[in-house]
Amino acid sequence: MKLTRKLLALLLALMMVLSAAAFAEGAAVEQTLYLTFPSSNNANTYDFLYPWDNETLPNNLLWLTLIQADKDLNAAQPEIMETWDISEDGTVITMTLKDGLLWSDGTPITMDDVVWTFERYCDGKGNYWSFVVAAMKYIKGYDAFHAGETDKLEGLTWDEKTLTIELSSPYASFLNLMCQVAPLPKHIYENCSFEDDSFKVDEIWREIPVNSGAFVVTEHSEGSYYVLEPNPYYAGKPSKITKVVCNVAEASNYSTLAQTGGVDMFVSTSQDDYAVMTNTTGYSMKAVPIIFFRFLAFNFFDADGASKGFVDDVRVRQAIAKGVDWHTVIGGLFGDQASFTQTGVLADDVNYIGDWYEFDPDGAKALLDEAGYDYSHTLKIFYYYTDQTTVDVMDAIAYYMGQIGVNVEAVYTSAVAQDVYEGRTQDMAYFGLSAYDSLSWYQMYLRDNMDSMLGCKSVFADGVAELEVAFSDELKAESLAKLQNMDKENIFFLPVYTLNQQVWVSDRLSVPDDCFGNGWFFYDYQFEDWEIVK
Amino acid sequence: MAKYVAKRLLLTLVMIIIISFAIFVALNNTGVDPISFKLGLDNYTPEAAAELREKLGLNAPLVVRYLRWWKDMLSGNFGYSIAHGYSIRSGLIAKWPATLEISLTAMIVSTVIGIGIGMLSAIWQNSIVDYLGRMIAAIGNSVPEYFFALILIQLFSVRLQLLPTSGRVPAGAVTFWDRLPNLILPVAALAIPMCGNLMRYTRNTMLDVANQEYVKLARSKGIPEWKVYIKHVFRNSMRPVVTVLLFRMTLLLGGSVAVETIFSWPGVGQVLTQAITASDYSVVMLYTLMMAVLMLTISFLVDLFAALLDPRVRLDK
Amino acid sequence: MDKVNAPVGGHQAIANARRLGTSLRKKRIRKFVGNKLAVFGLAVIVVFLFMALFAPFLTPYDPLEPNFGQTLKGPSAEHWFGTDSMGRDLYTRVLYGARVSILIAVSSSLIANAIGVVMGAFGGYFGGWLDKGLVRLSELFACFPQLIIVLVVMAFIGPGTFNLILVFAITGWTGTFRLVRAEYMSKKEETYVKACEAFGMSRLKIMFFQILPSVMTTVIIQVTMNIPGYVMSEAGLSFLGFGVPMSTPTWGTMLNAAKSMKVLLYAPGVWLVPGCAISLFVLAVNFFGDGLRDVMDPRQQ
Repeated sequence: MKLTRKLLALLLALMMVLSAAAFAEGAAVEQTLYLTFPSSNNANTYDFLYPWDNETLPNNLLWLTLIQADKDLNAAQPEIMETWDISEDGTVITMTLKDGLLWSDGTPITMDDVVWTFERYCDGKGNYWSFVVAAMKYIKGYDAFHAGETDKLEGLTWDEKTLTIELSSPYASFLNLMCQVAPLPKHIYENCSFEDDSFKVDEIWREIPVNSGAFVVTEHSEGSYYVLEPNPYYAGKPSKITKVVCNVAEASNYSTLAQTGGVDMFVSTSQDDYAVMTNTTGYSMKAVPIIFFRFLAFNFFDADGASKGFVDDVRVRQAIAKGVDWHTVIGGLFGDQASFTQTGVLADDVNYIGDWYEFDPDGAKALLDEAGYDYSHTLKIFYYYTDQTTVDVMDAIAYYMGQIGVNVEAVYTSAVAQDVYEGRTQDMAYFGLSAYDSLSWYQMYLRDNMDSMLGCKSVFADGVAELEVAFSDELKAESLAKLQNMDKENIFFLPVYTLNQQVWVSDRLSVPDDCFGNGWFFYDYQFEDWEIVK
Repeated sequence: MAKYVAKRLLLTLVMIIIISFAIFVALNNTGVDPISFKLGLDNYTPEAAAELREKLGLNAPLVVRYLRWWKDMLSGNFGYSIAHGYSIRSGLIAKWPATLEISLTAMIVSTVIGIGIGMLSAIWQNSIVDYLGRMIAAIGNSVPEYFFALILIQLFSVRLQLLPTSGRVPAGAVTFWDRLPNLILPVAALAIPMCGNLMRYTRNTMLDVANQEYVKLARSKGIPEWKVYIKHVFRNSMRPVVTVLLFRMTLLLGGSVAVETIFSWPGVGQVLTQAITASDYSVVMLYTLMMAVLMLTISFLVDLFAALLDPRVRLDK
Repeated sequence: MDKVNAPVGGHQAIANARRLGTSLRKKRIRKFVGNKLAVFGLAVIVVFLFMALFAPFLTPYDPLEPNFGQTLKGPSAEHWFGTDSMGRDLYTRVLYGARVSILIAVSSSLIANAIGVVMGAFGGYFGGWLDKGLVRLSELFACFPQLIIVLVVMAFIGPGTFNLILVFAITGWTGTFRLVRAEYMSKKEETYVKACEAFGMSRLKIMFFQILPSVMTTVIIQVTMNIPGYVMSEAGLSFLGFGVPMSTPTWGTMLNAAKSMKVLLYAPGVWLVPGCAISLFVLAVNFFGDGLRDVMDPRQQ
């Protein structure tokens, strides 16, 4: 025993000398990565179930997902599951568990943990990402389980090694969404309450951090910082970075934190952060186009469901699309930090076929006249973002529409859900949507609350169903083309722009080329190759 | 004395009940449903709202819910925010100290500087100190604190790069001294306008008192000038000054909302404005109550202090 | 003061009083003109009012027309104060903004003082439980931040320019109330009031036709001195997003642009211009009010 220890120490010393020689001064750099988050309202430090914004990176380090996604969020690498397979008709998914995986307390990761986690997603008590829950609803027997009629999910069958998921109908992105599901250790959390976010104050949850990822929480001071260090039971490739310090600072934006130092990497969509960071030395930025829409949602009906008779004529909606010089407005306000788009697909996506409406005030005016638009009416827009850029967009719409004789009044509302869906005094509302994929955009047409304003559900139901089962790229392209044409024909929603996500990386951190995807989701950051160089 | 204290306490209690009830009734009639915030844009339907309202007991009569709020208050857990679901108690513990930190610091700083310069202005009337003091007072009276805040950021953060633009606790801060730089600008923005007010008021009160007969008499007796000022003028002008100070406290707490927004200061300001827009009455009522209790306590202490300072004031009146 | 204090007497007495009145007025005007700061204040106010009234003639630009080729530009020959994030001319927006901002401040002050006067008159003159109740009410308003009352009332009646004036009026009467009440309490003991009462004049008549004119000095000063507060409050509320609709240019909604870090840090002109307009106007009204008080009410310096 003693001898082994001595040998080990000798070996270690030798390695250190060698590496010191190899890297000269490089080896002297302490491999500690600093991340900082603005404290949220509730002063929580981390949230495993519903990671938000920049908490997603530490979550990636703490948890293994069923399958690992590449940066485009497609199922790519084995993680907890060794293999996965989907049947011809897309209704049966078979996955096999990797051998020898351990939780950070040394107990094995079993199929029981996986199944238990699926059950938590399906019982509707916790707060999970809604686009994952939307897929879970396709598991056979979901409704009965969700309603509490049975305590077994019919669609799940499993043994120690193999999990079979049977879907009630095919769902094309189901496998990709398995990349966003991180199993939880049942033996630790089975007595935790998940209802109404109460797990956040559950002592078990806070005091026994047991997880599956490459790192574990070794120190945690609520509301001020937590420290991640390598998980001794992690079987994957070790990271060069040996310590991650996550500070919580009381500030509302990242750029402020970056200026005071101590942030090696963060993602943001804020124009403020962009302005400040471009004036801050020591950082470089990679822009990632993400699905983060701002759009106008029209409303045809008043509170009693009677037709309002203004924007329900498609020509009036076309006039709004043509009457405002969107390219100039968006370019003027955002520069290259936003992309102009007119459908539910990103403008740089291969499947994008938008840009039908060129700025054409005369054409817009003609459309309005043709539709017999009542110019004495004042179109009312509800908006709920309070930043100046939103106010500017509202002012621009009001101005351009005013030029063709249409009065527009933009009204700020804080109780937006109630005002938009129940009060219904608006002709349009200015919404934001952050989505996992294009499907999420089109699924919006099927929502009851949207349907009650637009009667859009029946129009889009078939098209969306097709996209849900579009397993091949060709099918997907075909389906998206069809849906985008429906966007164009109907203009229930008028997308205005999508915001880029900026990934800011400090000069002391070296990351592999092109490793960043949408920082709000689980994907392979290639974190093993991240290195502190200064 | 005991009778006075009892009467004051009773009055305070009545005030608190009236204030809380008024806010409760007002916020219940804004037409804004806090439930809609909890459900959000994705999940809101009139049916879902009705169901959740039933589940949270929001369909109970007004009076029942008001009494339930008192029950929460007295039990000390303060309930939950209807709109955003967080525990009001933990929110309060997290936010209230930050607001007190800047308002009280601003109060102390402005009191010391304001009264100090005000006194010097009065003693050396029409001197350069007086002239400068009056100029600062005039500007302090005319420039809103949020505008001051913007100018300070532009000057000290952007141009001189001396102090941080925002936030309260910088990353990795451990001691008070680590976060002192973050405190300076917000406090200055709050304190300067108040300084101006106090300066002007102190100066005028002191000059008034200095022209009173008994002060002239003291002077004519050959008592040294500094002694006249300390013993007679200062003592007698402090009572009105302290009263003004008290009324400034409400302005400070109000003014701090805008200053907190500018400096991203994590105080009650943001929570409060958010809660008011959401008609989240339990949150608004608690914060308002905290402020009212603070105010009433200070006003009580001031009266007590005045009585100790000035034998002519009797408390049982 | 001059007119009312002349009790029932002959024509001669009235003529004397009138003469006294005119000479007093002359004396006051001379005193006011001698106060350089007050004259400066008056001049600035007049300039601001002129600019607000004749805004369309003083600028070639439309306050609402965007020009995305010219965003966030500094001062130039075309744009004296530069442009905002939509390329709109800041000078033009300050002119148009003055209209709404000054309108709100002046009308709020007038209405709030009217309420204060009526309440103060009833409280001070009648005394008793009515007075006690009103005093308690005013204390209630004083014991917590006005901003919260304003916000709660605003949430209750909804946003909008007119509602903002209403809110300011509802919450701003207490200062005037206290002053007017005190005046009425002392005035009601005076001989001429006692005389009127002895003649059987109705109490309302005494309150509003006999005593009120003598209180007007205090009220006029109060109205003036309250205006700066409302200018600042309007801007503050708009800054917090509670004021007039964001699309209406006022000094407050213009300041809202400073919420963007980009503007706050790198385009200071956008908020400096409305901020300076507010400060200058408030400073002017304060100076003017001080001068007015010195002249009209020497007791209250």
